[in-house]
Amino acid sequence: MSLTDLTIAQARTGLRAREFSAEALTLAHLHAIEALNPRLNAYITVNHAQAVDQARAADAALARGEARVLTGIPLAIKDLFCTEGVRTTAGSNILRPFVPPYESTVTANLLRDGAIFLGKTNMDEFAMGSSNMTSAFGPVENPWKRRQDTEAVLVPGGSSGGSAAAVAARLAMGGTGTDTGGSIRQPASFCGIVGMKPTYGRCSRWGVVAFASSLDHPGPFARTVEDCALLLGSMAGHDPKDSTSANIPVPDFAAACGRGVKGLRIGVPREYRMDGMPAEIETVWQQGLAWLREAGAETVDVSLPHTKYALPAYYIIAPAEASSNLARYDGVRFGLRSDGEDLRDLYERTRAAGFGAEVRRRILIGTYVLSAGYYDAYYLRAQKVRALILKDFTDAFAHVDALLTPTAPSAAFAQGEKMDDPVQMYLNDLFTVTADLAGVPAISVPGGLDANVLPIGLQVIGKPFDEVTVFAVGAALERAVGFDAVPTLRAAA
Amino acid sequence: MPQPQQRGARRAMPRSAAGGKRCSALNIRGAASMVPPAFFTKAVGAMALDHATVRRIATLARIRVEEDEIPRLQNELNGILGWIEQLNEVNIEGVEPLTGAAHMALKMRQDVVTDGGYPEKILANAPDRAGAFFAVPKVVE
Repeated sequence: MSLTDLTIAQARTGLRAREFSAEALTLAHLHAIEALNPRLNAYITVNHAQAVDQARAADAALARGEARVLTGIPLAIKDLFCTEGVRTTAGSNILRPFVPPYESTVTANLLRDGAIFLGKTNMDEFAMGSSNMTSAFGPVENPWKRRQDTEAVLVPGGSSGGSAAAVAARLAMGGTGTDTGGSIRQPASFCGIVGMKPTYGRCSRWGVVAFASSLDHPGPFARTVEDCALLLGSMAGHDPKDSTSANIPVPDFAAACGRGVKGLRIGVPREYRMDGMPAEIETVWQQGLAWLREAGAETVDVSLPHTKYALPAYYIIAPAEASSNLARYDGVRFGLRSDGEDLRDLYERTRAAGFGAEVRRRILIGTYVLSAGYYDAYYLRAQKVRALILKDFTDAFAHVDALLTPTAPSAAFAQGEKMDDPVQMYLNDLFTVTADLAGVPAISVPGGLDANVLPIGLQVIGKPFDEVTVFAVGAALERAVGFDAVPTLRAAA
Repeated sequence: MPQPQQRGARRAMPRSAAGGKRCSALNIRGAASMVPPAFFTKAVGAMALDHATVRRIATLARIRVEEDEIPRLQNELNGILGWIEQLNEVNIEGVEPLTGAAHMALKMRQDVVTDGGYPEKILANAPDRAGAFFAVPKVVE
């Protein structure tokens, strides 16, 4: 088995037993990146020298017997996390020259625990997108191929498409993402890996380039549920620098993975179906439910009646927050500047040159719904609908321990599809956006393959701060599915 | 899932227009609880944002938009706003708005300075600077 095929849990064991060094493990990944990244475009920036230095430090720590939970584990970092001294672009031209003078809390936690950063991964611009097609650094190729149409270049999903593609193609053992409307779980589903969005407040947002602050959730990607649990255990924790960071203990997420589902009640929301959804998604969902029953869980039909209103509410709230957050990009203090006749002209030219079409569109929508006279009709109404979506979950969780749904209404689609109408692209997040609005934890686990041998993800949604149950159900599902398919494009293939 | 335009959809005039000034139309249904009835007029078509409104929003957002970009933007924004209109089907009577996803009360902290004192770090990414200051085109004549 190649070093790049190991799980994080296996690599931890191997590193501690000195079967291989952190440097060898890191170099194996860097070589894989050299070979495949020119095609996949999963990384915007590769930290070759820094990663090797970090690996040597990890080997020294291992030799001293001072290994921490992620010592020597090479990771991919979404280019939305500020990394001190390493360019951070948010996938945007407006931040193309930006080198943060500080480290985000989540990445600082990973570094504290010994992780190695291979590089910064591609993403939809400012995390606004579901296909990675809005990146100013070019699209990412999904390493999976359609059986019937191997020439088609598929999208990895988005917005964290680079991290998802890198982990799937064995260009990293795990990675970070952020999920505002589905940006961890939908790419995990499209790339056949595991992606976890924890409870809002579990991972600090400090140092993560802001999109929609009440919806932005940092979280991990990996190829197994246990690996995601290990990563989240390091990333999570209270941070005084984020006023919405939760000051509650971080449980042993990895230990929860072996817990099983015996006696758990799993809700099946009847609203998680869409017209035109491929029949295979329903089949994979029903199979997942059958497996959970075999493992000792009880499945219960539930209703989340406001589900269909989640996306339209999101497309008021998220652009509103984005229009406010992105006001900081003015060409004065950092990032791109386009000179103008006066200060105002400088602002307008800088923002026109620096923001791509989707970001401009969302800023305009957000500006409109917050403008004088329209606030109540749009923004306030959307916040009330958001309250009803949370109430749907609260009511359901009075009767069940977790919910099982499909992650996305389709498998990966081809580059260029769904590009003509913004709303068609937005519908990708139909099943994921509800958990962002409610702030509840959710994981996507590979559930099976469609007729094109493309992965289809299943989503487990849990109660606030009950990630342990989400991991327990996700791991039970993973054991039952026994997903061992691999993408066509991968290291050592 | 765009909602078909309902017959009898009413035009809610923005409250800022209460003085009787001309303003662009907002096409939204079920806004009766939010806007004084006196400002309702007859139904309007699906194009809620006109050319001048798109121009005004772009100015508010400080994004330069060329004249020939406006029709396309108008079309896209109206497509999105038309789709969002389905929220008017939801009964929100008596519902308290939810401002965030945090399952806890927001924290208080001491109102004290806890950071700072490194102007070089702050200025390191400045597109233009003059000494310890950010430099911009002349603002005051």
